[in-house]
Amino acid sequence: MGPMPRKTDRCFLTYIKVSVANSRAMSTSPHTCKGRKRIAVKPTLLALAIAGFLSGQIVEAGDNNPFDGYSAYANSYFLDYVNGTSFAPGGTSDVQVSVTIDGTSHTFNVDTGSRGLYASSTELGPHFADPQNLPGAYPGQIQLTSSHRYNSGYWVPTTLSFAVKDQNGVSKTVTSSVNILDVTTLSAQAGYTATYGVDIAPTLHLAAIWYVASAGCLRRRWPYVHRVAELIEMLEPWNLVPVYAIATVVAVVKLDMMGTVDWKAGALWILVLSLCSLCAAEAFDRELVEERLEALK
Amino acid sequence: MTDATRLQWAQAMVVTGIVLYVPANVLPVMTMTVVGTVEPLTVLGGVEELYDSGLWPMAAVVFLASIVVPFLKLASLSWILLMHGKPVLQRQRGNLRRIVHSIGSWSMVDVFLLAILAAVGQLGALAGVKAEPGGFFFAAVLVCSLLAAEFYKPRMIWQTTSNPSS
Repeated sequence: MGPMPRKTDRCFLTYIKVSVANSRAMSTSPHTCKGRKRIAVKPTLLALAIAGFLSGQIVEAGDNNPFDGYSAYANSYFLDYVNGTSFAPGGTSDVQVSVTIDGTSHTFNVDTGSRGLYASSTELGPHFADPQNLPGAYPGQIQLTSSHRYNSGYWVPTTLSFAVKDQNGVSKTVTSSVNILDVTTLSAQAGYTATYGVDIAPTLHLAAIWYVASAGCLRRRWPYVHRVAELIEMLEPWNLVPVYAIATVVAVVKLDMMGTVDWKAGALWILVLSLCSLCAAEAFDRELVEERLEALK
Repeated sequence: MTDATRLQWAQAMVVTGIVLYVPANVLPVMTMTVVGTVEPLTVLGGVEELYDSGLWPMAAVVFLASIVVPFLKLASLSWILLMHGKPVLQRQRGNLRRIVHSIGSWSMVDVFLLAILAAVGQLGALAGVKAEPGGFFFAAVLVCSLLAAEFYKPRMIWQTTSNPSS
């Protein structure tokens, strides 16, 4: 005697019996069958979840960085380090340069691993506090490939002056109008564990459930449906979207202690996807689907 | 892969997980630097910090996911593997394995938390978060327990020593 069916199994079996009874009792049109209507909701929800998931992954399109494709002028200049005496192996102090921005002089650390100078908005003053309303400003972003971070904000045309030396060592001031990125949002690219657990495995898991559930709902024996059903069981523990959602909430709470963190629309999609994933994984029963497919033989 | 090999792999993964559980909880998983103050945090230290900040619901979630779940998972799998082949409490073992399988991935909360904080929490001279070796050990414990549950299939619970294929 085999093991007794679990409570959920019994519920699902009853549900299938009701569906079959409805199919027989009601009209021959499948679209008016109450049972089929109920079943069709699941693939739809899953499809919505997949669509939402993909939408949530899309970052702001277009990297309109004005420095892409930039080629230097024939004349080169050398920036003076304003504290440049300890720039040697083992030296711990950051090298600094002096820059005049719109008439106000500033001293910045040089971030040698980055694509330029990086300064806090508090150093730049209130002028850059509301970048979208500055004349000539337009949205943009920079991806820092070494740290996998995205800086999004507004490019603002600004007049900069640098204290430089030319090839002959003659000091002079170079003034130019350049765009600087006023960063309003900082985001980061997930690591490999997160990429697998939050991107790849959930996509495959939901797509596989959709495939098998659709085959069961439409009463079609689609190719490799049993293999795909095996894949679902294998992928289920690696669908970590709900776990990621909880971790994100905790991380935001922690980061909020250090600075200001704003929620964006992607968080809602992650929440919807998490709920759909949990419901889909809870409702799916491989044995029952296979029983149903076997009955079609 | 034969069932005997699966059993061996499951046992190996559980033992490895138990060994790694010690450094995972003793070594710091991250170092938080806030306004020049460097603070190494263990898994339990992170929970304490959340609790001290008045965020006890968050502290409870992280405590359950990062301390209780990995411990229960390793303990449950150890018991299931020790009882392998004995024709007793098979239904209970099956239920326990199902529970372990469904809650196991929740312990990844701390790994994701570390990944997010280390990636985003770089705020220049003001604050920063750095991943430490404890995080690697913690992730390894979770992967070991996930793989152990994967190797030990539910049907193997019903095998007995006298009739291994039953």
